[in-house]
Amino acid sequence: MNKLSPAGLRTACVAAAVLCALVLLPGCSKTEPPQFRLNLQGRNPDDFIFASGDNEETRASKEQNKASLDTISTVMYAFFGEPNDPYVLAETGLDARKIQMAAGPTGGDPSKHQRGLYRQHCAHCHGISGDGAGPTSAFLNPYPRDYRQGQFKFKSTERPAKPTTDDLIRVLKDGIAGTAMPSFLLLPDDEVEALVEYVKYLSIRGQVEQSLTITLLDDGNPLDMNPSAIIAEHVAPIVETWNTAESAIIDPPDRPPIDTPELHAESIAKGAELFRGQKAQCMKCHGPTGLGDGGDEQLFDDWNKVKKFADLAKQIAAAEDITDRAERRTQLKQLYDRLEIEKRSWLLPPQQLQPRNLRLGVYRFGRRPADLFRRIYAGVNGTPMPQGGANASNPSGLTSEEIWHLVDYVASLPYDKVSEPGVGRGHLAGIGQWHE
Amino acid sequence: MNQAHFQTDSPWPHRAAVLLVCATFPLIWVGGLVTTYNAGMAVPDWPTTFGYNLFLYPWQTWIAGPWDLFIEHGHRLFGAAVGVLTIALVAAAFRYDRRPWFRAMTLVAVALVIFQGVLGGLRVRLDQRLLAQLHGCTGPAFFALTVALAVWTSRRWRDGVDHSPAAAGDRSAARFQRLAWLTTALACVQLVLGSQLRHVRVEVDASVFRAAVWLHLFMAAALTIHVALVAARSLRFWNTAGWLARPAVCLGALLLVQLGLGGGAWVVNYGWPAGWFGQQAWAQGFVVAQESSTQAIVTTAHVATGSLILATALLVALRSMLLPASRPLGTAARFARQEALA
Repeated sequence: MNKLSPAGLRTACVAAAVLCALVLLPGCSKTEPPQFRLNLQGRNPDDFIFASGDNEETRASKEQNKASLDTISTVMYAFFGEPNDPYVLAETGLDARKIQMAAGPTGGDPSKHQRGLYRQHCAHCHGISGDGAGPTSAFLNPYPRDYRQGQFKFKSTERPAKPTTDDLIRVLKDGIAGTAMPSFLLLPDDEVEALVEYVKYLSIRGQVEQSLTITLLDDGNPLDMNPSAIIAEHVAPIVETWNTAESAIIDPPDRPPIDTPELHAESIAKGAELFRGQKAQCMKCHGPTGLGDGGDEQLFDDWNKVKKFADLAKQIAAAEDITDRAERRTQLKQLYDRLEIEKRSWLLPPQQLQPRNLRLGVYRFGRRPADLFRRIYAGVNGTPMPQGGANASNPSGLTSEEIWHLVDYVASLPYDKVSEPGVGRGHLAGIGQWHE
Repeated sequence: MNQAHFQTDSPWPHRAAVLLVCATFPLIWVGGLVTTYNAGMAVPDWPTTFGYNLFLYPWQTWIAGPWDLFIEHGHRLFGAAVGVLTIALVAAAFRYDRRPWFRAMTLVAVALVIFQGVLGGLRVRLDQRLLAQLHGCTGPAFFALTVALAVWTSRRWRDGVDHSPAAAGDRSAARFQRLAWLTTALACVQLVLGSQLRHVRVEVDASVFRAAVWLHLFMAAALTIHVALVAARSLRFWNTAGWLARPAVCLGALLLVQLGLGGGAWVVNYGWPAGWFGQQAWAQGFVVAQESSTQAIVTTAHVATGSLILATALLVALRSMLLPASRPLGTAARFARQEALA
């Protein structure tokens, strides 16, 4: 009978070897336990790396920076442990049992307790460290949240306040429409609560790291290595912001009556006027018709150091207007060089924000009137959507009544005749001009 | 001609091989569901199930237990059944088929199914992602082998190369054979790339996943072009060799389904992309539902259809060896021709 010829056998072996390499090579890296990524917070990595051209002063400065990083790493490990074995500092008030449930590798531990929920459901996007730079993050728009800055967009509390536990549970259970953030409604309640607790753990950890970095690297102050002193100065203030979140819930006051169609129409008309007026300035970003097409300004949120990019982008735009050719070239070169340096310190490339198209009728974090009230009153934390409502820090802001008019107007936009598919947006073109 | 050398007229080897194919495809589905639902560690021991012998685990507890236990233990039972069917095929081959190489291939199939079982077991015992990925790649390889075994026991293969005037060979047959084998190789590589995406480690950098996605998309484009060529070129054999053209056209249809499932798998896991979709109310209102049945079915269907494409491409490639070619062929073609003409 026939046998495979040597040539055939060789071809088959080569093909099998290529396939095996494809499967095995990406997995050949050492499978050491994952570690939290040190947060340089936008600092230039060159400040920590020795180069051959460094003079004595630069080397001393880098030596100092590296020593500071070592101190930060030591404190973070002592206070928070590592991803596979997190340490729950009693002063954080976090539930150690829930943290154990969410942390570690996916699956059960030897005693068959659930573990690794965060790695199973969240880490692919939000990253092991909660830095919002997991493996899939580069493809997502908007990027996954970086918890380490302690800022959260979707919450029912005052703008600078932390979200409540219920807010985080709501985000997890409802998901966020139009983004990659899924709904975990099918997960048991205890698993959702464990994930929320772990998000708080990562956020507190990230902010403590940030606080230490400011002390050691920005201010150049030495750190008192007494644990009690570190807790009092760097941990307790952050934990306090989480503990006081419940008291910062925005409670929308009673709305003006809109019982009759006339009253409702009147409220919508007032809202439309405010929308395009100077006081609310909604039109500036959302456009005169609410299509999210207002202005040409590039908008960025507070994560991934994109604010720096926004400032640089403005400076570049200004430099491009310089009439003197040589001067323009010099300025632009300097700015682009800075931009390149900045980019190296970001985890992900900057991503431009798109103001919401309010005519789609899709509102992230809720479509109830109270949800829209809170969005307008407090804005969206960490984004250019500003605090609209009047408070101590914004005395000239909108009154509650005005916010309710805006709520009525915004809620009416998807039902506007011209918002219907097929009518065409050409009908909207004149609205902005009419109001200018 | 070659009846005496080839085999007896017994249909049993072919029946056993076809049954094995039919059993293996659902097993790939169940295996895909185990990964989709992250149920690989639902039963933490192996080869026992919570201390019980695999076959003696109380069926009431299995049926009424948690979903992840149901699919993981079900996957093990199903795998064992496929192992038994493979052994049955070996028995049929040694009883009825006289071709030593075919008997050897059935033994290879047994070895592969045992290897696959051990891989699955080690994946549980060692809880290693790499083993899970290898296990996920060996499954389709075994499925493709079962299809090849079914082809080798078929009447068509037994009848050998069609030398009728209607099927007179030309250069296009040789080109088609080369194209079919290349397509099979591409399908194989694409499957491995897909497994890289599915089993991506959470520790890796975003750039690694990005590279894997682009490579998977690039290979999808290459595979689409090759499958389209296979389907289009097979049409010229529609009248003379319908047995080749029909699966080739099916391969084209499967690829269209697979492209849809690939896009669907992205949407049910990560939502609609920005850009044009960002201005559509239906896309903006879409919320990804984690661990929903839609997510599980679409994702697993994408995985299973990948295996089906590989198996169909191999079927077309093997059958193409029965085309009469007018010029010297490669090793595989010579092998098939010698086999058929012996």
